[in-house]
Amino acid sequence: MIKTNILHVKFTRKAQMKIQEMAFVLVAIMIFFAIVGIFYIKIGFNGFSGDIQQQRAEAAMELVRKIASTPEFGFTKNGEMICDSCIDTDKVMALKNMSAYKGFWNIDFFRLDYVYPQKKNIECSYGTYPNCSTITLSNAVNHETPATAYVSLCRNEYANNQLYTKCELGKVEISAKSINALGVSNASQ
Amino acid sequence: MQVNKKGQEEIVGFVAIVLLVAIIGVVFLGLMLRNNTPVAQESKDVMRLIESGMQYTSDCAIDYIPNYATLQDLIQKCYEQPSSSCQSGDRICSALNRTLLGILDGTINVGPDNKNKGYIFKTEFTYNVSAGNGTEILKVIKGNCSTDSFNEGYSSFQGQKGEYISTLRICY
Repeated sequence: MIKTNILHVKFTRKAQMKIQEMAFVLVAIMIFFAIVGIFYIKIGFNGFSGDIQQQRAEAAMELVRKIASTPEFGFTKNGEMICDSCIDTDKVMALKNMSAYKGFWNIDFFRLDYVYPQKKNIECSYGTYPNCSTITLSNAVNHETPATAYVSLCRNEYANNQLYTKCELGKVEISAKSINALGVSNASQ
Repeated sequence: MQVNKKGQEEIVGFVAIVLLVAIIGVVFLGLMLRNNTPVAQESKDVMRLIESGMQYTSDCAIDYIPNYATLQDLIQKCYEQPSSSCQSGDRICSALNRTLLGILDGTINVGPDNKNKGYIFKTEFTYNVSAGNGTEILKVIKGNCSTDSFNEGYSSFQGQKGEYISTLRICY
């Protein structure tokens, strides 16, 4: 009978050491790449989130600029716009109760807030205007969080039997599906 | 059982190095994620605030009532004719200070516990924008603005003699 020793493998301690070393190196490399990966994802996510917020703000401002430049909202003096973001609150008050303009701009939420000087915290109506704090033009039930932008809220006033322009500092809060899709095309139609 | 002492020492040393590197990495990562890097950025929102603020109609009537000056008019008048007065008798420059502070304090809440730690508003006058080196004609500082994190915006308008450039920095 012939005795074979083919399957007998001789493991040396030196080889075991090498395997262990390699295992440790692999673990170290994994830890290193995990740290780098987490760091990269975190930075990337922050940047992405910041980009979205910035784009939404810019889209809102673009929308405000477009709305302020329309004849229905823009404040004009001697036929010319006095500034890019000057909104005529007299016109807005007139539009507020006109059913023909409901849904005209495809805006879910549109509100003007007086910021400075501070006024009584009440919604503007024909009875309270201009001694009121907010003019809400559109307020759909399920609107997204509105984007905001500073604007000048201007109106015509009389003193000494003369007409003059009075502008106050305000904010427009606006929410439209187009803003949330990072575009302004639909809302400005 | 025969133990290879040299091999054991090698493994222990290697494990120690791996652990050290891992701990340093975790600490470094933790610090990086906790401390937001200072950000100085141009803000369109701040720019819009200055632009809208410049159109604000003050209570200072120039020459006659109701020729009420905007903030922009007051800045220009205060620099070009500092001795002039409003119809109410107030000096133009004091009306400017009062109006500007009212707008800034009414729009920016500043404090150590607030998001905004402070602000700096300044206006420079320059004959030629491309030449630079404007003359500082107005500066308002409130709160702590020594941090490197801020939003900044600027706005300019053309006066009779040159250009007025206003800058607002809101620190957080």
